[in-house]
Amino acid sequence: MNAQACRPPEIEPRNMPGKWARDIFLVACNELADSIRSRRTLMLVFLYAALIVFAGWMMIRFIESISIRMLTELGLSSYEDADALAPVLWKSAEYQRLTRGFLGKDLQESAAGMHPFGWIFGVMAFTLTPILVMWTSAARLAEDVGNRAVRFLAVRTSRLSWCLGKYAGQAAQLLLALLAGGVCMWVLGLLYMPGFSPAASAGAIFRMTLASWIWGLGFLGMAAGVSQITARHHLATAMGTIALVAVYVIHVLSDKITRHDAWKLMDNLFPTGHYRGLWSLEPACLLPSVVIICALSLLYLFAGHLFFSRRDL
Amino acid sequence: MNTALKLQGIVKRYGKNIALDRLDLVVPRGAVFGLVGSNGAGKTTAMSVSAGLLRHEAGRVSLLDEGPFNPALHAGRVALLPQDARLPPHLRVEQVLRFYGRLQGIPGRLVAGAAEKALAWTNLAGKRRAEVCELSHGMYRRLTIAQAFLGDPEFIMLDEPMSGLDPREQVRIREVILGKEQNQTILISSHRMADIESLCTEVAFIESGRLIRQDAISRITLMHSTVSYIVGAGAPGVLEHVRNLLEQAEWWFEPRASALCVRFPDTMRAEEVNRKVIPVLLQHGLELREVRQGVSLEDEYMKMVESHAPQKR
Repeated sequence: MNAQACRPPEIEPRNMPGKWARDIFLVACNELADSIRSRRTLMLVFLYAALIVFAGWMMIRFIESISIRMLTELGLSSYEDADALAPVLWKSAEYQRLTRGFLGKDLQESAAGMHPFGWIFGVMAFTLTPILVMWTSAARLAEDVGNRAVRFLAVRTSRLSWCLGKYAGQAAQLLLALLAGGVCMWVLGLLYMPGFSPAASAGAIFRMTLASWIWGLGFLGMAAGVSQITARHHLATAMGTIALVAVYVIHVLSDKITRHDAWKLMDNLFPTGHYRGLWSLEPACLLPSVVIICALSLLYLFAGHLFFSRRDL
Repeated sequence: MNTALKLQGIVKRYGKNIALDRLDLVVPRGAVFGLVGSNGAGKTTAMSVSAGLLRHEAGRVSLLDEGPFNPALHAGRVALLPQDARLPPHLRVEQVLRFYGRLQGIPGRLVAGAAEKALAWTNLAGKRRAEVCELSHGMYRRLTIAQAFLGDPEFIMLDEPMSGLDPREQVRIREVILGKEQNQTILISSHRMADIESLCTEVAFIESGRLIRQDAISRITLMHSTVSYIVGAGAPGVLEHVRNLLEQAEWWFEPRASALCVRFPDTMRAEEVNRKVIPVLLQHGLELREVRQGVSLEDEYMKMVESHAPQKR
């Protein structure tokens, strides 16, 4: 009796084309569903949305005071000329000081003319996303290895398909969290901000949601890489957090303190070296950043996988 | 070759501890094969190495005569019941099986039926909508068994399948194992000699990571040439009276099982032996509790372990 004859008829043929892609999709769907069902992840997403709403509320109050003064000076009614709010605000020295404080000089130029809700959401999302990613995702693979849940899966699919599936599921989860934060922000503006332009702000928020998702993918790859080198989920989270701090230290050193080429070069190995392009509306600036950050993300994941593919489960 | 599993000289170390010390094992196709050994003997490690979960330092593994575990070749054809692995707690029972089924290559249109079949086997059909975290320990254990039988794989490795099951469920699982497809191979690791004896056709004793003996159960227990009389007190004294009852027979007393054993020549049959021996035993006032064909597997195992103990030191 040979192996082919033994196989029950309902099993798909071995080496089925695209099986790896289907496995990644199945694991990703399961990961996303599990994340949604998991109260812990929902809690973190809720905290993330709450932080965005809180920060957005504070900014609304501040911008409101500037905008009302500006519109009054120009003799406009904020409710009638809602779409005029953004360009008017950008002409205000006070508003420009505010944006420079939050965005820095480089980003301020990129974000010039952007609806205030766009850059406020962008600042919040860019700040919180790496933390959210490290706290929710760095432990996900390690947890399954630690409690040996992976043993049920490792006899059914390849380790790489499993890792990529978990990564894709986490990426989808991140996108959902960012979209949820964006919707909260938009609703907040709709309810409380005078001169709110629903269409323009929705566009700006959506654009920054996608930008911060790409930004988050860079850290997600890092989290997935870290998560593959230990079976202890607390240790994985700690290592992810340390890696995040190290990345920011390198960025601050290269950007603000030394400006030495070596630091710059090192910074370019991390998403922090490429985030400026994500704020740009120019495809020539935007696309290289998107490609580089996605490539870095996969590079971190595969670096972790070099260890994971040889480890005991 | 027609083997489900072949291990040749497998060496596996955990740091300085050697878990498998040049282990050789051959599991023929279609067998229900028992793996017996004391705690830490290497049974779970041997299964994990076979399933590709653990990397080994030396030796060769061949699954279904197709080399070491490779998900592209073996997914859906090889299944494992790991000992302490955790199922996703927030998935529903049927979702777990559908997810695993799809991943191991059961087509979407057939996966629901395969899941239902596995649930019916393990008496979990009424719990299909329950979340895994809501199951009792026994139900959880049955679900792990159900996933191993999902899709009728060619080779199933069960690590302590009866642990945590109530007597009724043990009987049910025993029936599932005995009712396996003819070309299915089942490898069972267990401390329960009664299970091994009643389920398996062949057994391997391993101690300190090495194979002590592998043989058919009937040969190890001398099934066709020995009768054991399990008796109450006074048996050693009766030994003198029965010794001359049968020509060319070998008598001995097994104190552990309180069994008077006789090994008879090929020319005789067990019925003849019983006809001559039982009246004598009763005549001498012995309390005859059980008459068993062959000796107990447990006694044979204990003898083998004891005879190998000096080598360990």
